[in-house]
Amino acid sequence: MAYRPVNPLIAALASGRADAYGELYDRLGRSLARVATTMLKSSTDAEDAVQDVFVELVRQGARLNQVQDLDAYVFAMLRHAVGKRLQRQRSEQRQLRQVIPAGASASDPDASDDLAAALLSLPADQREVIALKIDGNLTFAQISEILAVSPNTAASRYRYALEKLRRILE
Amino acid sequence: MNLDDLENRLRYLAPGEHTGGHPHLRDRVMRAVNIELTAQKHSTESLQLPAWYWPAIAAVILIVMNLSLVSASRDSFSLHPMSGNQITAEIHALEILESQQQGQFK
Repeated sequence: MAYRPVNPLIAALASGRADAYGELYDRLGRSLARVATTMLKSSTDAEDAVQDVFVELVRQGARLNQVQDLDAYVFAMLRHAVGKRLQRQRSEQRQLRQVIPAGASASDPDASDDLAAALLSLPADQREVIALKIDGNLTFAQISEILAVSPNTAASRYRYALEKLRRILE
Repeated sequence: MNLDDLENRLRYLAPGEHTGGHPHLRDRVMRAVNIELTAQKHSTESLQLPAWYWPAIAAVILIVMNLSLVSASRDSFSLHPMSGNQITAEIHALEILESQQQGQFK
C-alpha cells in the first residue's frame, strides 16, 4: 500500500478537537455558505445545511482519517445536506401551492439583481456546478469527484451553465 | 459580455444577497460542534468500564460454571432415588432369579 501523508487538520478533526473545526470553518465556511445559498435560494436553509455538515463531520470521528481530499469531501457532504433540504423545500412548496393560488407566489428576497435572479433561474444541476466552481473555488477535478462525473464533463457542464446564464442576461 | 466578465460578476455578487454574508454563522456552527463533541464525550465515558470490570465478570462466570458442574455431578448420583420398598423389591426379585437359576442347574 502506498504511503499517504496524514493531513494534520484531518487528524485533528478525527480526534475531535474543537479548534480544528474552527480552523476548518475559517477555511471553508464562507464558501460552503455561498454554495449552499446559491443552491437552496435561501440563506436560512443554507445556514442550516452548513451546520448539518459540521455536525455530521463531528459524528464521522475517526473515519475522517480515511479522507484524502478534505475540501472535496466537505463539499460532497454539503451537496448531500443541500439535496435533503431541497427535497424538503419541494414538498413545502407543493403544500404551499395548495394554499396560495398560482401566480401569487412571493418574490424571492435573495434575487435582488439581474445576475442573482438569472443564477437562481438556472436548473439545479447547472446552478450547482457554478456554485461549486465560483463560490466553492474548487477545481474541476474536485467538482468531478463531488458530482461523480469526469473532469471533462464537470468542465463542460460549467461552461454550458455560463453560456446559458449569459443568454438569460442578454 | 464575455464569459470571464460573467465569472467575475458572479464572484462579486453582493454579500448577503447571493454570497451568503453570514457573520453569525461561525458562532452558530461552533456551538453545534461543541454540543456534538460534548455529547460524544459523555456517551464514550458512559461506555468506558473500570479496569476491574472484565476480570470480575470472568471470575463470576467461572464460579457459576463450577457451581453448576458440582451440582450436575451431585445430581447424577441421585437422578432416580429409590425408596426402601423399591430396594426390598429389587432384592426379592434377585433372590427369586437366583433360586430359579439354582433349580435349573440341579
